[in-house]
Amino acid sequence: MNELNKTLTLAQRDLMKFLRDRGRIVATFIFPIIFIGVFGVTLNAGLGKYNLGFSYIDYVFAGMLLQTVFQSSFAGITSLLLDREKDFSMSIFVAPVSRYSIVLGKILGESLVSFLQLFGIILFGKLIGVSFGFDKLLLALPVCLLGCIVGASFGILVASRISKADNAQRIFPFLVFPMIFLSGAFTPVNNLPWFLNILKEINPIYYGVDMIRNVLFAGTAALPLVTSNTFLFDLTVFSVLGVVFFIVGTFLFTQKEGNR
Amino acid sequence: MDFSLVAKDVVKHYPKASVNAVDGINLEVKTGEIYGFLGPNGAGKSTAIKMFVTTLFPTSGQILVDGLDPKKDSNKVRQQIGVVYQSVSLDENLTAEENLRSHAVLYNITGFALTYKATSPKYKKRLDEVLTLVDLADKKFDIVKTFSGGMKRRLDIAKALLHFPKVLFLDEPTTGLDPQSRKAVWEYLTTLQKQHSFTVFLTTQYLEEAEICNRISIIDHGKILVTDTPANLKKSVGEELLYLKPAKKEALEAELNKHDIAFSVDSFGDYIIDLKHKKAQDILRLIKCDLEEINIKKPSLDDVFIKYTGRKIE
Repeated sequence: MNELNKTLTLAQRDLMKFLRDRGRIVATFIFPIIFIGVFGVTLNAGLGKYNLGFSYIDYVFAGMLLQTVFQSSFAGITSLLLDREKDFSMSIFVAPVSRYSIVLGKILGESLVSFLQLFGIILFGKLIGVSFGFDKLLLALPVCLLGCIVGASFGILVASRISKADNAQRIFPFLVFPMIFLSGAFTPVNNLPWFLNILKEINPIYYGVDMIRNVLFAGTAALPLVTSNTFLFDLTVFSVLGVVFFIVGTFLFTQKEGNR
Repeated sequence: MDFSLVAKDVVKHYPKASVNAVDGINLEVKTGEIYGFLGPNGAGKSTAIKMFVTTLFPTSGQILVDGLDPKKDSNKVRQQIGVVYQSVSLDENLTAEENLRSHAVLYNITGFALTYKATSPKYKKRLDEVLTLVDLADKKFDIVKTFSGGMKRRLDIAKALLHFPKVLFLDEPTTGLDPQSRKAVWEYLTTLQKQHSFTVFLTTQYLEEAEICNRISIIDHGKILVTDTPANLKKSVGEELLYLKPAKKEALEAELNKHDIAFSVDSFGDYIIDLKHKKAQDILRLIKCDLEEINIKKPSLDDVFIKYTGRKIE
């Protein structure tokens, strides 16, 4: 019971920090505007004449939703764990709180923050003519929540293998960009050469993106064009990856804690 | 004798490092004592404090904080200690109360509460107590970002004291503060410590800060070179000297000779008396003639540090 209180408090603190930080709020809206607005609209204008069979804005929007929550909770959790050498995070690690509660609180907090960002993306999407109805968008929210959790779990795993924050600065671009490009969030990832295909298939975001498109495009003629797997398959792989990342990551992290 | 902190042959070897960061330290900090580690950057002070506060495990040796092993009984030890770090560990965008509230939940003082109103009476009472202690009672609902450096530091200390810790650890707590705020922080701390008699363990590289300790260990290259009271350490380097500048030389000389007090005269015309066996006050009581200036020169901790490490502290 106590530990639950602590988990909730850590999550609440993350949420409050976000709500009080105007710069961060603005920044979270600019990124989707660039991607959906600039990327989606320009590509739609350029590719529209080839008759893709689906709206490219819808396509990017769906990918963007999942991509955003995944990256945001991934970044949140890695910064917490990698900054534990800094005094601010240390003050949490010297408190009588289970390490699991700290990690869980952070996952919850980052998920809440990502969720708020979702509303910004949805609002902006509707403004520029995304065709999904609110009923479908509501159904997509649980998928986004799963995306937050898997993103955070992946963050724990990555952080457990990196010893210092400055190493992370060097490693992250090599990790994050291929993951985004191979996720199918912005461009289709069918018919890839075999070596890229392997990378795609071990990329957790790929399953999340495919899953959310399965929800958002359900019942439309475009569904087979924008998805590669069934919803159930995506759900299974995405969840299993999340659980594995969480268990292995937290285990490795707590193992290393104190023995650095 | 009760000890709040005991270290026996504690060694910390970081993977891939060529030397031990902490190289076999032994210490016993008495309950209610203010104990300090004085040493330059990289001496092993922070590594030692990390091991005491459960965030780093020693390679070998034994540590007991309030009788408990920080590695085996981490959470029990954590509940008994307060930690103040070099840089302020507060959320700048939250209010003073919100910062302390989340701390209170982590330390089992109150349950999860979305608003101040929903918190327990026990927490509200303690919150007012600690904020009053550090003179921030009227800033309860102010955003921390608006505070000065000294105020933030005081709030940080209030936070560390919120859960009635038995031992307060301070890792170079006045780094980055101007001399005035630094002095104020130490005044608060020593007053608080006297009122509530918790044990204080601090690290510093400022000699004047080490003066507030009951005992100091001088640490360099991961080893404790010497441990004693600041006064004894200074005595170990040399004696105190009394400098007297008389209005009339002859009058003072006559009086000193009459009372059989040995003296020497320096090039400035000062009469210098060694205070090894006499108290300055006793000597001054005997002297009736007019004096223009009276000085007592003490060896500083600077001199102590040079004696034990062979160099000046940076």
